[in-house]
Amino acid sequence: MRDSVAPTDDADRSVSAQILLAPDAGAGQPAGASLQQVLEGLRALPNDSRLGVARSIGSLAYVLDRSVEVVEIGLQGGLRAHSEPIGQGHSAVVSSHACLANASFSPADPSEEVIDSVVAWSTTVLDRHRMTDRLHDLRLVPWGDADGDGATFRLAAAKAAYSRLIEATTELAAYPMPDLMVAAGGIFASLPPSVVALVMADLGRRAGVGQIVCDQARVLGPLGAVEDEAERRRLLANLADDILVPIGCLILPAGVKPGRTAGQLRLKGPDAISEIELHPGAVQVVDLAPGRTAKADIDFRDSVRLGTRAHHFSLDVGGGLCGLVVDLRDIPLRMSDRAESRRAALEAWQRGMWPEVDE
Amino acid sequence: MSVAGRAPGADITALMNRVAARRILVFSPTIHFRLSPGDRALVAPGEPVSTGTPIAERTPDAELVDAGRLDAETKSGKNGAAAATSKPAEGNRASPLWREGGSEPAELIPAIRASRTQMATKVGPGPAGTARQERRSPPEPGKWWVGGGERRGKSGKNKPAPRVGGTLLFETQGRWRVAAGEHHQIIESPVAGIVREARNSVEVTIEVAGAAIPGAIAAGEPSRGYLDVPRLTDGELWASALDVGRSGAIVVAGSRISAQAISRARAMSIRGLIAGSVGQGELRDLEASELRQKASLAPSVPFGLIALDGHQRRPIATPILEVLAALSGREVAIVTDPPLLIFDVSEVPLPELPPDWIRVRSGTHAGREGRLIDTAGLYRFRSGIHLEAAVVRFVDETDTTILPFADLERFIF
Repeated sequence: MRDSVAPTDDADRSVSAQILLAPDAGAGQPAGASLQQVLEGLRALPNDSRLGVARSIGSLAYVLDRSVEVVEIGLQGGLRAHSEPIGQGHSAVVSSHACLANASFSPADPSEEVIDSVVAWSTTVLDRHRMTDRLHDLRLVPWGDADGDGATFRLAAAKAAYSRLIEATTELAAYPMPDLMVAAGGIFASLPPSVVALVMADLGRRAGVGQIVCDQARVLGPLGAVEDEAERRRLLANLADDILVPIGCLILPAGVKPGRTAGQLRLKGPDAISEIELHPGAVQVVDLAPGRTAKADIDFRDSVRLGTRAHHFSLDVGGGLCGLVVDLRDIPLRMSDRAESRRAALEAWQRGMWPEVDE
Repeated sequence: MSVAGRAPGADITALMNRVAARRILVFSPTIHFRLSPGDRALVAPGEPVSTGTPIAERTPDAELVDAGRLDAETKSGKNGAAAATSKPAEGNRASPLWREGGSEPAELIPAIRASRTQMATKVGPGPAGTARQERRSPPEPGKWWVGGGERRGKSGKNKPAPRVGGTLLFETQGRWRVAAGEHHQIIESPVAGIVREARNSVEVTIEVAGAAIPGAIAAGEPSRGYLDVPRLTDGELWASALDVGRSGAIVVAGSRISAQAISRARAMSIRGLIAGSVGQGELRDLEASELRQKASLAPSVPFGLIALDGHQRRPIATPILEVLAALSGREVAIVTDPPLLIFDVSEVPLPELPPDWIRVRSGTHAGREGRLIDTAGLYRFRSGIHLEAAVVRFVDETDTTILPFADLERFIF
């Protein structure tokens, strides 16, 4: 595609003319991927770790033979990437991704919309000026103030960044819920696992069943810098179980009707059976330790959509630090426009998943 | 929790290496003056500048002007329009891409400076000799251009057409567009140093001869004045203390700068304020005030402010306050890119700090200082967050406190 190599040095750039033959805007799979690749290559730094995460996810999808989606929220921007194996024998992987500077948890020059989105996801009452000051200070000291109020503020900033990322990647919304959802970036690494699960459930509103993991050691980016695809696949095949911390399994049915009960869930593990009643509009958690698998039999009162539309589902689920999360809220998430009501709803869901927040 | 003393055998150096380092002083920093279309550099790379040297000329009311056709060997128009400034390097042809030919050649600079003795100037014919030289280089983006008198339909019958000056932007269908304006303002260097880069419409970069205290945020304009360190009450300076007696000073204003203090300081011709923090609301107010001032085209005294820590309230760190106290009365400068407080003192008296001295930079204890006692390992903090923790004893306290390492900073010189 490129007729000349783009010089990295500004001085060189000003001297040598560059001719770039860009591909057609609709070329590639999915459409536009080829042009995106060229443009990102021009913008990115050598060994850009954010694009490295996207490459690692492509390799991971091949290695695990599962569809994988990553959401990475960082200081300089955010990334959402989706990869899934296709073709006979799943011999190929189709990937798409988008990097967005505005999806930083604390953008360099936050607009009023960014402040609004943080306010909208915040469970604490702060005036806009203080919120803006805190957001700027978070950029100055991104690892600081990570406990107490600071943790809830970081959570709001992360959710706001994630929501901006979703708004910018509407083409990825067409995919069904991936088999594996990866939360990456330091802001997720510092939050409790149950809260990370809640973030993924709050923002990734697609009906289905998926495993949530966290790139706790933040090595997906560096592994993506390995240029040889085969070598990267080998590395990920060896390391996948160690670098991805299992958070839990998310069950997100669509079409749950309001009422006293939504149905029953029976979780049959190797050494125990749990039974819970499902309540519409709630996020319910069943303990299932990391490394364990179980069979979840769910009987819904009304027919719901969980891949297919039915009353009864029998699913194999994996455990995690949080456990099995059953999210019976609406898709998309419906919340009041009134700030107080919205905050109360967010706080109630948050307290259910994060009881230590009031300590 | 109470810890009587440091754990036996604890290596304080290894422990302190886990705390983020904050450099109090930087030497010979490089500073930038960003220029906009219509602005030109008045210095050349490699040229030494001293305090007050004109380094750039801004065009605050720049607008897009059609300059017409400018041939490579541009002849003066009948009203004196001319493409200007630098000679391109040998074999360096004009490029269709943006390439800065930019800065004034060194031989032209004295003539250009001589023609500008006031802060605000109007465009007029330059010295005849230099103008003749200026006309000889081909037009390219960034070049200085003076014209406007020949533009038809722009003025009344008996009114002379205003002459405008600015920089060439781009050529379209053989005609050049220019960012030009009638009024111009000279930017004087607030520091001494050597020009490292000078590009019309882009920036002037200077390597400073001196030392500087880095800040977190700066706003306003680069400014210079004598450093005034007044007595602070509980780490604060009352706005009423900013009186006309401090005119021309850069004042240390304590933990936070209020909007009232900024307004008052500007009204009293104070050149700048230094504080621990400044809120975004105050920065917005200052920006709006500056825009109003620029819109009025009235020359104003440069005013800058610098916050050393961030946006949320916290006192100035005591080691920095000691350095500022030692520099009191000397000439200092505030520059905004990067945020620095610059002083041209070759030897700065440095405060003596215990080797385990730390300061809390964020969190509920932000701004407090004390000594690092030991590590507390992975510790469960509020909200169930697990973080690597340090045991700290604050000044004037006997009990110890456990804090995340990420909330601490240590000072290095």
